[in-house]
Amino acid sequence: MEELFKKLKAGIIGVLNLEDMEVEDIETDDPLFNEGLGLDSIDALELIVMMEKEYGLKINDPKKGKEIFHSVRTIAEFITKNQ
Amino acid sequence: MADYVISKYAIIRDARIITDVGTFVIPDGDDDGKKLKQIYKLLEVDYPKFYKMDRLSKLAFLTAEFLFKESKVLEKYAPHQVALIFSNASSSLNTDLNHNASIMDDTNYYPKPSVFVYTLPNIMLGEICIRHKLRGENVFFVSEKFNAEIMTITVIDMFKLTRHKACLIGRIDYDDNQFESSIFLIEQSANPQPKDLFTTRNLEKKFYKFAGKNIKTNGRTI
Repeated sequence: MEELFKKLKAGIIGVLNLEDMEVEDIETDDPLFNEGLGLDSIDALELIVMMEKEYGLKINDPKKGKEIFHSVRTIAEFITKNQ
Repeated sequence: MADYVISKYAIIRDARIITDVGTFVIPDGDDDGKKLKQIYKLLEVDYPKFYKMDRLSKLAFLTAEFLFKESKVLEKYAPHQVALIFSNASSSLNTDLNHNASIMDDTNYYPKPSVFVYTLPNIMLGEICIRHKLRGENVFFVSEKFNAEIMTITVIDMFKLTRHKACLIGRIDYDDNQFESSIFLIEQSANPQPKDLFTTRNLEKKFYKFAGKNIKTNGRTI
Protein backbone atom coordinates (compact mmCIF):
# COMPACT_ATOMS: atom_id res chain seq x y z
CA MET A 1 0.00 0.00 0.00
CA GLU A 2 2.90 2.40 0.72
CA GLU A 3 4.03 2.16 -2.88
CA LEU A 4 0.52 3.00 -4.06
CA PHE A 5 0.40 6.00 -1.71
CA LYS A 6 3.66 7.27 -3.21
CA LYS A 7 2.48 6.67 -6.76
CA LEU A 8 -0.80 8.48 -6.09
CA LYS A 9 0.92 11.45 -4.48
CA ALA A 10 3.30 11.75 -7.42
CA GLY A 11 0.34 11.49 -9.80
CA ILE A 12 -1.58 14.19 -7.92
CA ILE A 13 1.43 16.52 -8.03
CA GLY A 14 1.87 15.84 -11.75
CA VAL A 15 -1.68 16.19 -13.03
CA LEU A 16 -2.52 19.17 -10.81
CA ASN A 17 0.70 21.11 -11.49
CA LEU A 18 1.50 21.39 -7.79
CA GLU A 19 4.83 23.12 -8.33
CA ASP A 20 7.46 23.01 -5.62
CA MET A 21 5.62 20.16 -3.89
CA GLU A 22 7.22 16.82 -3.18
CA VAL A 23 5.61 13.48 -2.41
CA GLU A 24 6.69 13.89 1.22
CA ASP A 25 4.69 17.12 1.47
CA ILE A 26 1.35 15.35 1.03
CA GLU A 27 0.00 13.62 4.12
CA THR A 28 -1.76 10.35 3.36
CA ASP A 29 -4.75 11.07 5.59
CA ASP A 30 -5.10 14.85 5.13
CA PRO A 31 -8.23 16.05 3.28
CA LEU A 32 -7.49 16.88 -0.35
CA PHE A 33 -10.38 19.33 -0.81
CA ASN A 34 -11.48 22.48 1.05
CA GLU A 35 -8.67 22.18 3.57
CA GLY A 36 -5.37 20.33 3.33
CA LEU A 37 -4.27 20.77 -0.29
CA GLY A 38 -7.28 23.02 -1.00
CA LEU A 39 -8.10 21.43 -4.33
CA ASP A 40 -11.09 22.64 -6.34
CA SER A 41 -13.70 21.24 -8.74
CA ILE A 42 -11.41 21.36 -11.78
CA ASP A 43 -8.82 19.41 -9.80
CA ALA A 44 -11.54 16.85 -9.03
CA LEU A 45 -12.16 16.41 -12.75
CA GLU A 46 -8.44 15.94 -13.32
CA LEU A 47 -8.35 13.24 -10.66
CA ILE A 48 -11.30 11.47 -12.28
CA VAL A 49 -9.41 11.47 -15.60
CA MET A 50 -6.27 10.22 -13.81
CA MET A 51 -8.21 7.34 -12.25
CA GLU A 52 -9.48 6.21 -15.62
CA LYS A 53 -6.22 6.73 -17.49
CA GLU A 54 -3.78 5.30 -14.93
CA TYR A 55 -5.93 2.74 -13.11
CA GLY A 56 -8.74 1.92 -15.54
CA LEU A 57 -11.39 2.92 -13.02
CA LYS A 58 -14.41 5.04 -13.94
CA ILE A 59 -16.22 7.12 -11.37
CA ASN A 60 -19.75 7.90 -12.54
CA ASP A 61 -21.47 8.84 -9.28
CA PRO A 62 -20.45 12.35 -8.03
CA LYS A 63 -21.47 11.47 -4.46
CA LYS A 64 -19.16 8.47 -4.45
CA GLY A 65 -16.45 10.67 -5.93
CA LYS A 66 -16.54 12.90 -2.86
CA GLU A 67 -15.93 9.90 -0.59
CA ILE A 68 -13.25 8.38 -2.81
CA PHE A 69 -11.25 11.59 -3.17
CA HIS A 70 -11.36 12.54 0.50
CA SER A 71 -7.68 11.68 1.01
CA VAL A 72 -4.82 9.77 -0.60
CA ARG A 73 -5.68 6.80 1.64
CA THR A 74 -9.33 6.66 0.54
CA ILE A 75 -8.28 6.82 -3.12
CA ALA A 76 -5.78 3.99 -2.57
CA GLU A 77 -8.41 1.88 -0.81
CA PHE A 78 -10.82 2.38 -3.71
CA ILE A 79 -8.19 1.36 -6.24
CA THR A 80 -7.17 -1.71 -4.24
CA LYS A 81 -10.81 -2.79 -3.83
CA ASN A 82 -11.77 -2.31 -7.49
CA GLN A 83 -8.76 -3.38 -9.52
CA MET B 1 -15.67 67.24 -13.27
CA ALA B 2 -12.28 65.56 -12.90
CA ASP B 3 -10.58 64.27 -16.05
CA TYR B 4 -9.73 60.64 -16.67
CA VAL B 5 -6.05 59.78 -16.73
CA ILE B 6 -3.79 56.83 -17.39
CA SER B 7 -2.61 56.71 -13.80
CA LYS B 8 -0.59 53.46 -13.71
CA TYR B 9 0.94 51.03 -16.14
CA ALA B 10 2.85 47.78 -16.26
CA ILE B 11 4.46 46.53 -19.44
CA ILE B 12 6.29 43.25 -19.93
CA ARG B 13 8.33 43.46 -23.10
CA ASP B 14 11.82 42.66 -24.40
CA ALA B 15 13.25 41.10 -21.25
CA ARG B 16 12.01 43.96 -19.04
CA ILE B 17 9.09 44.70 -16.78
CA ILE B 18 8.39 48.44 -16.91
CA THR B 19 5.99 50.10 -14.48
CA ASP B 20 5.21 53.64 -13.48
CA VAL B 21 7.21 53.05 -10.28
CA GLY B 22 10.21 51.15 -11.59
CA THR B 23 11.81 48.79 -14.08
CA PHE B 24 12.75 45.17 -13.50
CA VAL B 25 14.83 42.81 -15.59
CA ILE B 26 13.26 39.51 -16.55
CA PRO B 27 15.44 36.68 -15.26
CA ASP B 28 16.73 34.19 -17.80
CA GLY B 29 14.82 31.04 -18.47
CA ASP B 30 15.20 28.18 -20.93
CA ASP B 31 11.68 28.56 -22.20
CA ASP B 32 8.68 30.78 -21.72
CA GLY B 33 7.27 28.60 -18.96
CA LYS B 34 10.44 28.97 -16.91
CA LYS B 35 10.65 32.70 -17.62
CA LEU B 36 7.11 33.21 -16.39
CA LYS B 37 7.93 31.23 -13.26
CA GLN B 38 11.03 33.39 -12.70
CA ILE B 39 8.94 36.55 -13.05
CA TYR B 40 6.51 35.12 -10.50
CA LYS B 41 9.36 34.49 -8.05
CA LEU B 42 10.55 38.06 -8.62
CA LEU B 43 7.22 39.27 -7.25
CA GLU B 44 7.67 37.33 -3.99
CA VAL B 45 3.95 36.60 -3.70
CA ASP B 46 2.38 33.40 -2.43
CA TYR B 47 -0.37 32.40 -4.83
CA PRO B 48 -0.19 28.66 -5.58
CA LYS B 49 -3.08 28.91 -8.07
CA PHE B 50 -0.61 30.64 -10.40
CA TYR B 51 0.92 27.28 -11.27
CA LYS B 52 -2.40 25.91 -12.51
CA MET B 53 -2.98 28.73 -15.02
CA ASP B 54 -2.14 28.47 -18.67
CA ARG B 55 0.70 30.68 -19.93
CA LEU B 56 -1.63 33.39 -21.24
CA SER B 57 -3.36 33.77 -17.88
CA LYS B 58 -0.02 33.60 -16.08
CA LEU B 59 1.22 36.50 -18.21
CA ALA B 60 -1.91 38.56 -17.51
CA PHE B 61 -1.76 37.73 -13.81
CA LEU B 62 1.91 38.72 -13.55
CA THR B 63 1.37 42.00 -15.39
CA ALA B 64 -1.51 42.91 -13.08
CA GLU B 65 0.59 42.00 -10.04
CA PHE B 66 3.31 44.41 -11.15
CA LEU B 67 0.69 47.09 -11.86
CA PHE B 68 -0.65 46.85 -8.31
CA LYS B 69 2.66 46.05 -6.62
CA GLU B 70 2.84 47.90 -3.31
CA SER B 71 -0.12 50.07 -4.36
CA LYS B 72 -3.43 50.51 -2.61
CA VAL B 73 -5.13 52.17 -5.54
CA LEU B 74 -7.93 49.60 -5.70
CA GLU B 75 -8.99 50.40 -2.13
CA LYS B 76 -10.59 53.59 -3.49
CA TYR B 77 -13.18 51.59 -5.42
CA ALA B 78 -15.97 49.13 -4.69
CA PRO B 79 -15.46 45.82 -6.53
CA HIS B 80 -18.20 46.54 -9.07
CA GLN B 81 -16.68 49.91 -9.98
CA VAL B 82 -13.58 48.53 -11.72
CA ALA B 83 -13.92 47.14 -15.26
CA LEU B 84 -11.44 45.23 -17.39
CA ILE B 85 -11.19 45.71 -21.16
CA PHE B 86 -8.46 43.62 -22.76
CA SER B 87 -7.43 42.42 -26.18
CA ASN B 88 -4.89 40.28 -28.00
CA ALA B 89 -4.07 38.98 -31.46
CA SER B 90 -4.34 35.23 -31.06
CA SER B 91 -7.14 34.67 -28.55
CA SER B 92 -6.24 31.53 -26.55
CA LEU B 93 -4.61 29.78 -29.51
CA ASN B 94 -1.64 28.35 -27.61
CA THR B 95 -3.93 26.62 -25.11
CA ASP B 96 -6.40 25.66 -27.82
CA LEU B 97 -3.60 23.77 -29.56
CA ASN B 98 -2.60 22.06 -26.31
CA HIS B 99 -6.18 20.98 -25.78
CA ASN B 100 -6.46 19.82 -29.36
CA ALA B 101 -3.32 17.71 -29.00
CA SER B 102 -4.87 15.90 -26.04
CA ILE B 103 -7.90 14.81 -28.07
CA MET B 104 -6.29 13.98 -31.42
CA ASP B 105 -5.80 10.30 -30.77
CA ASP B 106 -9.03 8.30 -30.53
CA THR B 107 -7.17 5.48 -28.83
CA ASN B 108 -5.69 7.79 -26.17
CA TYR B 109 -8.53 10.27 -25.68
CA TYR B 110 -7.95 12.02 -22.34
CA PRO B 111 -8.74 15.75 -22.49
CA LYS B 112 -7.35 17.62 -19.50
CA PRO B 113 -10.01 19.68 -17.69
CA SER B 114 -7.32 22.00 -16.34
CA VAL B 115 -6.29 22.83 -19.93
CA PHE B 116 -9.80 23.02 -21.35
CA VAL B 117 -10.95 25.69 -18.89
CA TYR B 118 -8.37 28.08 -20.36
CA THR B 119 -9.53 27.70 -23.98
CA LEU B 120 -11.08 31.17 -23.97
CA PRO B 121 -8.95 34.34 -23.73
CA ASN B 122 -11.30 36.12 -21.31
CA ILE B 123 -10.47 33.58 -18.62
CA MET B 124 -7.38 35.70 -17.90
CA LEU B 125 -9.77 38.47 -16.82
CA GLY B 126 -11.39 36.06 -14.40
CA GLU B 127 -8.02 35.21 -12.88
CA ILE B 128 -7.24 38.91 -12.33
CA CYS B 129 -10.71 39.53 -10.89
CA ILE B 130 -10.43 36.60 -8.49
CA ARG B 131 -7.02 37.73 -7.31
CA HIS B 132 -7.98 41.40 -6.80
CA LYS B 133 -11.65 40.84 -5.95
CA LEU B 134 -12.99 42.87 -8.88
CA ARG B 135 -16.60 42.55 -10.05
CA GLY B 136 -16.95 45.11 -12.82
CA GLU B 137 -17.55 44.53 -16.50
CA ASN B 138 -15.20 42.23 -18.40
CA VAL B 139 -14.70 42.71 -22.14
CA PHE B 140 -12.21 40.96 -24.43
CA PHE B 141 -11.45 41.88 -28.04
CA VAL B 142 -9.38 39.93 -30.53
CA SER B 143 -7.52 42.21 -32.94
CA GLU B 144 -4.34 41.91 -34.92
CA LYS B 145 -2.82 45.02 -33.36
CA PHE B 146 -3.51 47.11 -30.27
CA ASN B 147 -6.30 49.51 -31.20
CA ALA B 148 -6.04 52.47 -28.86
CA GLU B 149 -8.96 54.25 -30.50
CA ILE B 150 -11.43 51.42 -29.97
CA MET B 151 -10.23 51.00 -26.39
CA THR B 152 -10.58 54.71 -25.64
CA ILE B 153 -14.06 54.98 -27.15
CA THR B 154 -15.25 51.85 -25.35
CA VAL B 155 -13.95 52.97 -21.97
CA ILE B 156 -15.25 56.54 -22.24
CA ASP B 157 -18.69 55.28 -23.23
CA MET B 158 -18.61 52.82 -20.38
CA PHE B 159 -17.78 55.57 -17.87
CA LYS B 160 -20.62 57.70 -19.26
CA LEU B 161 -23.24 54.98 -19.30
CA THR B 162 -22.42 52.78 -16.31
CA ARG B 163 -21.38 53.04 -12.68
CA HIS B 164 -17.75 52.13 -13.27
CA LYS B 165 -15.15 54.53 -11.86
CA ALA B 166 -11.96 52.88 -13.04
CA CYS B 167 -10.89 50.54 -15.80
CA LEU B 168 -7.97 48.30 -16.60
CA ILE B 169 -7.07 48.33 -20.29
CA GLY B 170 -4.84 45.41 -21.24
CA ARG B 171 -3.09 43.84 -24.18
CA ILE B 172 -1.78 40.34 -23.47
CA ASP B 173 -0.09 38.56 -26.37
CA TYR B 174 1.36 35.09 -26.00
CA ASP B 175 2.69 33.14 -28.94
CA ASP B 176 5.24 30.37 -29.36
CA ASN B 177 8.52 31.51 -27.82
CA GLN B 178 7.51 35.12 -27.28
CA PHE B 179 5.22 37.13 -25.05
CA GLU B 180 4.36 40.73 -24.48
CA SER B 181 1.83 42.37 -22.21
CA SER B 182 0.62 45.80 -21.09
CA ILE B 183 -1.99 46.86 -18.56
CA PHE B 184 -3.03 50.47 -17.93
CA LEU B 185 -5.21 51.79 -15.12
CA ILE B 186 -7.68 54.49 -16.15
CA GLU B 187 -9.25 56.59 -13.37
CA GLN B 188 -10.20 60.14 -12.53
CA SER B 189 -7.74 62.74 -11.38
CA ALA B 190 -8.36 66.25 -10.09
CA ASN B 191 -4.93 67.51 -11.26
CA PRO B 192 -3.98 65.63 -14.40
CA GLN B 193 -0.73 66.11 -16.24
CA PRO B 194 -1.40 66.61 -19.97
CA LYS B 195 0.72 63.60 -20.90
CA ASP B 196 -1.38 61.38 -18.64
CA LEU B 197 -4.80 62.45 -19.86
CA PHE B 198 -6.82 59.51 -21.12
CA THR B 199 -6.84 60.10 -24.88
CA THR B 200 -6.27 57.79 -27.83
CA ARG B 201 -2.97 59.46 -28.59
CA ASN B 202 -1.66 59.27 -25.03
CA LEU B 203 -2.72 55.64 -24.71
CA GLU B 204 -0.98 54.83 -27.97
CA LYS B 205 2.16 56.70 -26.93
CA LYS B 206 2.35 54.88 -23.62
CA PHE B 207 1.69 51.52 -25.27
CA TYR B 208 4.51 51.95 -27.76
CA LYS B 209 6.81 53.99 -25.53
CA PHE B 210 9.07 51.08 -24.64
CA ALA B 211 8.84 49.22 -27.93
CA GLY B 212 12.41 50.20 -28.75
CA LYS B 213 11.65 51.53 -32.20
CA ASN B 214 9.56 54.21 -33.81
CA ILE B 215 6.19 52.80 -34.61
CA LYS B 216 4.14 54.29 -37.36
CA THR B 217 0.45 54.24 -36.71
CA ASN B 218 -2.05 55.97 -38.90
CA GLY B 219 0.82 57.67 -40.66
CA ARG B 220 2.24 59.23 -37.49
CA THR B 221 5.55 58.24 -35.97
CA ILE B 222 5.29 57.86 -32.19
